[in-house]
Amino acid sequence: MTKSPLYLSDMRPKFVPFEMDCGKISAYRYNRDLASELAAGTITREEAVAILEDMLVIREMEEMIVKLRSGAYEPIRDYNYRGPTHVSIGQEGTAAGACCALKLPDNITSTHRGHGESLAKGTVAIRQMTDDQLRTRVPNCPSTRHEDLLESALEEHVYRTICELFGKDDGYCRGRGGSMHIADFSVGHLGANAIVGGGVPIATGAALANRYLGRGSVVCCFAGDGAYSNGVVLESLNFAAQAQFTNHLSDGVKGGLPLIFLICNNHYGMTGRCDDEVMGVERMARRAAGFADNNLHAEVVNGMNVLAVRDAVLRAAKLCREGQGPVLLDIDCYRYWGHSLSDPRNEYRTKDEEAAWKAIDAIETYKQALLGAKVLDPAGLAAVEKRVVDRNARAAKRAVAAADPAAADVLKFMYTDTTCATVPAEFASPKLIGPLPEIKRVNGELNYKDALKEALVQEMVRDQRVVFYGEDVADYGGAFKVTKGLLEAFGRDRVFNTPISEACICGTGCGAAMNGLRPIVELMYFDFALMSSDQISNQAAKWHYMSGAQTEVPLVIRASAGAGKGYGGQHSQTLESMFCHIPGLYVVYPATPYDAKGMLKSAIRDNNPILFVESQALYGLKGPVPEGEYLVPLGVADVKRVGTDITLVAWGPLVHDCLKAADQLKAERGVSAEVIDLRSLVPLDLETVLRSVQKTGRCVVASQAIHIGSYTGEIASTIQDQAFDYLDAPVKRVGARNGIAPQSHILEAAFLPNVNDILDAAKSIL
Amino acid sequence: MATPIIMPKFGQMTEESAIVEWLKKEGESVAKGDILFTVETDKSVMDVESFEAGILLKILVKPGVNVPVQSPVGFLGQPGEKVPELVTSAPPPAAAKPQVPNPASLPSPTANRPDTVASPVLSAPSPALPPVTSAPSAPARFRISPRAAKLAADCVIDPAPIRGSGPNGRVVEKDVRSYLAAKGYAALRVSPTAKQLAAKEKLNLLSITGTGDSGRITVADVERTLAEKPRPLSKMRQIIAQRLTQSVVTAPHFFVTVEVDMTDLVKFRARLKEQGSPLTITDFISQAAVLSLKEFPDVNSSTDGRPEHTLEQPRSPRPGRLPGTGTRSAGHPQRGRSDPGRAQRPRQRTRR
Repeated sequence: MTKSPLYLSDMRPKFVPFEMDCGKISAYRYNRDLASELAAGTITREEAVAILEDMLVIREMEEMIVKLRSGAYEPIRDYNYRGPTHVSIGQEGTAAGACCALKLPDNITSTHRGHGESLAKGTVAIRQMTDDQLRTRVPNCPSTRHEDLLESALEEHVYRTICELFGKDDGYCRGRGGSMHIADFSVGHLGANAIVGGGVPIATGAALANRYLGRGSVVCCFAGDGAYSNGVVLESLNFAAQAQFTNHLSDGVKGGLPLIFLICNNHYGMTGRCDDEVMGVERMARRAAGFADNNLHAEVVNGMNVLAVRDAVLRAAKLCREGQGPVLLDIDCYRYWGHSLSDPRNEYRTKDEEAAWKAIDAIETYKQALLGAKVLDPAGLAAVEKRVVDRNARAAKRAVAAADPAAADVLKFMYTDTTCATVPAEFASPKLIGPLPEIKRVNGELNYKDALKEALVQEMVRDQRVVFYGEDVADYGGAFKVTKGLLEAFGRDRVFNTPISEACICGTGCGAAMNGLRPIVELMYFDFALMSSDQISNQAAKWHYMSGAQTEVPLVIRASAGAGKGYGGQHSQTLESMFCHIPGLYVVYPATPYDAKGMLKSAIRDNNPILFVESQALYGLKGPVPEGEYLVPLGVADVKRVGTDITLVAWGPLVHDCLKAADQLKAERGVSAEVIDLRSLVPLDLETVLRSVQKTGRCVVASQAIHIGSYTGEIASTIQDQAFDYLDAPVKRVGARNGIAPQSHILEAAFLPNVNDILDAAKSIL
Repeated sequence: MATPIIMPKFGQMTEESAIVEWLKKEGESVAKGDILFTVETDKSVMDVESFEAGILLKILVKPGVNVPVQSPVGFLGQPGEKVPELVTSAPPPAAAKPQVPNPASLPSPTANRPDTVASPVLSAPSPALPPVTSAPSAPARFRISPRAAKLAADCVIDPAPIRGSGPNGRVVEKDVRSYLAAKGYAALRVSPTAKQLAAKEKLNLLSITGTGDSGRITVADVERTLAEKPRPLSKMRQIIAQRLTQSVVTAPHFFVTVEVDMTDLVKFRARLKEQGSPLTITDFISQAAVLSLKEFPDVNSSTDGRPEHTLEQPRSPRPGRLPGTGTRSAGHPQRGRSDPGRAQRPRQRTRR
């Protein structure tokens, strides 16, 4: 056993005057050129040519998009492209320069203007592949020569990229993602993101996974200057730079996150200037000074010089691999076109400005460098250009002819049916750093809280990839002490506190889940899920589908629902109905200690993202919980009591109110009520509900959520739709009043649903 | 482009009409003014002529189907022209009939003013909608749960007489079951084919007398019941029935029995008949009535019954044309163009 991981702060007041030194951030420090790099051996002639080719591939493809608008792209003149036109023409030096500094297993995340990064990560990775790896990408290539395999793989890469833009089944994401969500997980591309800033916490989580798993891989997070005013991005900078990753608190894995925050600083959000209009700093790089004493090794880099970008990213990646990440790079570049092709640009900038940037075009200046360094002669240069143009044309023609996805498959890839049935050997025997927390059983019973803890402990013992983090969950054991003792057993590598950054907590969970971990994150109050709703709803829920099932998101978000404690409007909400409306997400809500343990274990092993709702009102509830291994399947309702006259459907705390109501109905009126605990809202066990209603002919659906938009409505509507002929009365709904949870005990009692509400509803239809 | 043939609107209040017969077949040529089809209206059967010449390309509405007026019933055009696919032959649902708004349901001018629009139900203070109850004056609506209705349908019985024990008197499953028990439904014997036929014809098994072995209801029993089942009246018969009833209800009737020695009259009539004037006894009675009415004009008048209104007398009573007295009986459907409700004059009916 190692030393206790508990951290008892011993901070003393210290009010000695001093001046804070915010350090220096260098700009444009690259002072070499191609010739000197060749001479120094820091680049080979083949690498130098490949960089040009990478940039040309990007420009050729994006100019195709531009030309398609007017039917001017000769190879597929008549193709009607429908989709986004966020071209990055002008920024090729940034994309190609950064990607050529990365290794095949390194990751990237990208943006809605991410064709460049996507193409360059692919071409660079393909050139790094062995012949065997190439053959898996192009199994139909008739040749076995390396050059032919490589050329075939490069064409296939462009083809699959264009297919994705065109929504074809051969696209990287099977036509589910398109231009703004393109991803190729096989080369570490974790996805472009159409939510500005949305990919940054995913990159942070992916880096967390790389660090924890000791992969030595770096994540390069491409995001625009506009994104660096976004809350979750600032949360991510802070999250990534946490002291506990590098200071005395880190005992197992040591070192900062291997993460490069690469700002594609083209100086415009959509149309608004970032650095002269909507921010208070002239240089984006200054952002770094707010998040780490080392200023995240920030630099400003000339993005119009592809070699300067390459140099900066090489050095950043090296720092990351040495455990000194994260690094922030402010790449100064320019977008020649507008936000999209429907943006004429003349409302917000001058033609002279554009001309000045085009005069130092990254591709044209690099061509001169290649000629000047005699890496290529003009004929060689023309040959490279022709190769790219021809290859892209072939790929585009093939893409136009490629098959569309079958309309019947519109919902394919919504959910995965896979679970972690067996743990890979390398993760099956995690190291414990202390004794497992003691969980006291009385007569075979545990309370709901301890049942959850037992599930967490068992799953963390089972699988080293299971990590757990959230606000105040480590030393303190969480606001409700659900996780007290986990830190002592598993150490800070696997159980740690986070900053108060709910969006980033869920976003990093999503990124880590997409990159090899099985994280559990905690939202102290369900209400805070609204802070992270983009990361839950647009990211975690959607990536399995949007990637065409390239990735799975085995993430559990534990959300603790308040209510009944006089905590008022922002700590008492029951919000699962909102998230049931988000496709791609599982939403479950156990009502008993037995289910709490069995369902949490199932959720941790499931490969879908799961919103796991717990009730603070139930934390103290005692019930039988077997000590050993058992799973409660998700998507299976539990008939708590069999009855014949009326069906009471509920979830969460209302299950217990329904049981009490059933007792009273029996005692007062001799009515036999069947009580169903749904347990899982998505997926919903409709069959059990319908079977019961078919028997009883009457139904009350109850939850603690307020009436408007409650999932009870969805269930009631489905019952009348699918069991209309079995109904002897309208389906009734019970929920909280259509209001805001009040603090006053009197008001809150009037606000929340109770046994009498269920009885009234039942009696009104009996 | 094919021209739609439109169901005409024959009356101000006519909302729907049914074609009695198409006089042209699909593909037949039509001259301008040719009769395309006949329509049964509230009052009679009307001919509908074609406004244009061409070919009857398509019949959308078969005879006997009620469709909203001013909706297409077919298409006229040139040979080979395509018929638009927008129209279905089935009458549109009730919601799709706004062409003929009921004046009573038109909103009053103030109801359209935006400031009088009710706030949405989402407003927090009064979120609960009032329970749906029918207005006290409206006749009690027969309420039955879907489950009970399905059970009744499965048993091929009419649930209308069942007393409901549910909220608002709703008939629920258990009411149907006790009704079935009370009616001895379990003992009812019915052949499967007979049950199927009865279900199809929406008959009530409980009202069919079985004549098979041990009272078993057979197909023959169902068919007999079906033959006895009241059939719906045509629009015209409905109107005739309504108006005849109306004339009885709105005119005061009294009955006097008088014995009259008609010997001379019979002789006189025989003589006239020989001379080639075959008058009936009724004609003489009518003439007597006319003469009496001239002498007592108060009897030949109408009133709405209110004291401030004076009697209103027709300027020239038309002898022999009193309603209900001639051979042109208003109740005769084939020749019944006369509308008994039009003339509401007092009548004296003499019974022999």
